[in-house]
Amino acid sequence: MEQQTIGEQGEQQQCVFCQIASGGVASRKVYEDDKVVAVLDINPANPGHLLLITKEHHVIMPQIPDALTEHIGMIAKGLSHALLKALKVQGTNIFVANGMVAGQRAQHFMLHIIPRMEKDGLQFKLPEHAMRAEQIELLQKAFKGEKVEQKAPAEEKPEKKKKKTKKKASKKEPAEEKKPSLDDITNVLLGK
Amino acid sequence: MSCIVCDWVKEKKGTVYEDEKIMALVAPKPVTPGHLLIVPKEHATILEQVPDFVIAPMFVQANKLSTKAFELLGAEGTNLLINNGIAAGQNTNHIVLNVIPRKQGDGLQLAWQPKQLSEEEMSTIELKIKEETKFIGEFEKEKPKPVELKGPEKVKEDEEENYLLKQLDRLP
Repeated sequence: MEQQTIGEQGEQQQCVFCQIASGGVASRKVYEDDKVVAVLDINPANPGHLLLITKEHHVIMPQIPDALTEHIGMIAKGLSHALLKALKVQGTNIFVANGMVAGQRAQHFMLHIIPRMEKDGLQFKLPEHAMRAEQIELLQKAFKGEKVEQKAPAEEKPEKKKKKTKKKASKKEPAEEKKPSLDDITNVLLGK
Repeated sequence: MSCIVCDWVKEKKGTVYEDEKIMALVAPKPVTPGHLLIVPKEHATILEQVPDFVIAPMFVQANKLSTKAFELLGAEGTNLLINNGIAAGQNTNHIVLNVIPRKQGDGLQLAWQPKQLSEEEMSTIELKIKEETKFIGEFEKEKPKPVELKGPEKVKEDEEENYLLKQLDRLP
């Protein structure tokens, strides 16, 4: 166990979810072990909506050590199964929001397990886009940390592409080879 | 019925990560740029069918790929989403863990309107769920691969087994 700094301790005292995990704040716990706690969400998407939180304070999931992450995944599966049996629901969503932009509301990591029924009025709207082969290749390279030539999109519509690239790739100097950013990929995806 | 995800695994279509148990690939129909799918290599329709020792690496990779989305793609956030069951929006018959990079103004809405439940309803639900969570216990471990035996030895083992079974049959 890492020793906490005074700062970290203070943070935990202010963190509602650390308080919930330690029992300092009342909650409806449905599962607890030495690493995690699962409670009923008081503002549920559906009845039985569970929040799985770590007893250790972590802000986003990528910060969590691998061993604890494995534990979280396995417990999430167990909780999903428990919901299916207990509430006789027809499905579950497992949902994590890392970062405010992704919908994270609290500064303490939580994994949502949401029970689902057909026509329950809930919908995670996931509009799909098409992908071309070269776009897939670009992304594969990006995730492997490889540099790629920005030739293909530039060739298609030279004038338009140049303008947009200059606007959005502001921080990096224009170069033939560079790691593709989300903006570059967005442009490729949207055919700009 | 064939499984499209199993096909993707076989073809190694758009792979960004692969090991013995799982594969991560570029989503063929992404929701946002950099949308990845993490799947168990062995076919599993719903989450509950995926062994614990496969779930574990799926979640670890979800983290690692989220980090890559932040560092390499300049994502400002990521969502992890598993749609477990048709009612939950599952649209393939093979379970998928979605890693969705997010950026300000990407137009994606993954919020919900909270429902209001009475204290009584909450208590009832709490009790029902607790009845089932008490069964969450030991995690499934990967079985050690069977030792391959060559011809004659194998026959000997069968004979031994049969002998033992016959002994059991003789018990009153």
